[in-house]
Amino acid sequence: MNSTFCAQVAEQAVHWLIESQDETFDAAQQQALERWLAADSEHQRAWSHIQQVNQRLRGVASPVVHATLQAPPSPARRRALKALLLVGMASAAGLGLQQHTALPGLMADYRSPVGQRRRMTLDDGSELQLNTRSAADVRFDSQQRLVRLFEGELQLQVAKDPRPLLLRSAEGVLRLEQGRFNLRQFNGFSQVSVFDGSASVGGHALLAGQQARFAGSGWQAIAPLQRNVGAWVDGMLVASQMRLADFLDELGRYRQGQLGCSEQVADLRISGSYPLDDSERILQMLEVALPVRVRRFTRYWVTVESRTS
Amino acid sequence: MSSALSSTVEGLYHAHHSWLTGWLRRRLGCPQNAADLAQDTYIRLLQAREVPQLVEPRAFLTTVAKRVLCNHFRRQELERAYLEALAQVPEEFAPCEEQKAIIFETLLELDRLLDGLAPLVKRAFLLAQVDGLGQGEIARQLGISLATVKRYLNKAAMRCYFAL
Repeated sequence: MNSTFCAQVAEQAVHWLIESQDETFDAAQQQALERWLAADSEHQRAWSHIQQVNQRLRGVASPVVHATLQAPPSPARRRALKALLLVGMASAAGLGLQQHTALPGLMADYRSPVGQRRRMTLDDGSELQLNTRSAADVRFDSQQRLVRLFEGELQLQVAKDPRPLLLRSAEGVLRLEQGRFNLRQFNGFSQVSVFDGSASVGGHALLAGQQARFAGSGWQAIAPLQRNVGAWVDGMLVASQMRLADFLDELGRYRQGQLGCSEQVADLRISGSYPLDDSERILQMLEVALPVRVRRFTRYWVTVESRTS
Repeated sequence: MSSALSSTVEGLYHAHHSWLTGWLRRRLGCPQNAADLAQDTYIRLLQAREVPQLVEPRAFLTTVAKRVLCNHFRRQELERAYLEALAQVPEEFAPCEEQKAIIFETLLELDRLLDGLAPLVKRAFLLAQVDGLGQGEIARQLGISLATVKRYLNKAAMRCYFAL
């Protein structure tokens, strides 16, 4: 592939990359970016070149870099160490290699990349499954079994054992009895679902057939278990009268790049079971099921909009 | 490549090849590597746009060979760090041989592209593009302003994506 670009296009593409990664990037700016992309095929080529390089960069971090790190006290610190280590590997000048060799030894560290699920059997016979873009540590000793979710989502089938099983999210620690549980880490809270058995925090139990938010001090918004929770284990995305915007957010977890929709179509409703392993097909099906069309600027930049606009 | 360049390099090769290999061997202590790096040195010369007027060809050859040697040591260093990191990966997640090689090549390339950037610039870039951290979070972690984060990202991105 020809990867030479004129300096001006390169500068503009880099400008847009950095703006689009700014947390305040809004719909108007996105439209401006889309106009820029549409204006010239060189723009699109430069943009997709950046995305391809980024694909490779993301591949470096996981799983090699992650697995070398001992779990630090917080996800943020963990990320910082992880970055240090990568700098160590990518550039020994000044920063890296000493940091790297100073890090203590192996921690069990399981990670699943974007779009993939992983299943493993733990020492006690429990079964751990990780959803897309998820990371967890497992530490068993003579006193306790500790499973820690750093990001993403896991499902745990807990085997019978005299030691308690503690499940830790960013918000705190849950105690699980024998049974089957789903835990998803959101930004600022975690969501626990109980299929079998019970989960407790501070002496308050969440029972089979219930789900709730967990924010450290106790349960919030306890509700009956929703049918779509945990369908990912079977490779399905299940929607029941789901807003299209929410549906795309969910689907976006399983894909690289940007997936979004215009405001006009955000509130359209969608139902059904969709196989996660082929998200491109799900997007094609959307065009059949709803009055929308899928616009692809690049493979990694997809927007769903009204068919009439 | 111009034919003038090609014949200059050819001349250098014939006149100084065994001397260069000896020079490299003294620094490496390994005849096998020395022969490889001597080849690399000539390849590097062939990739150059032009070879300057050579008053002292051996001084010129050593300058290029030093660069090649430096890259060689750097590669070894990275490889050691990489293998150490790989050794810690639980078996079921270990990349296959082919992936290992691809990841290592990516690391080398990234190292080369970002070489010479200030450590903070590199870190900001890696945090953003490898770890996917938000710019606000990067500013907090590095203790710099958001505007500075953007300036760093810009600088590193021009290098990394476009070698500019």
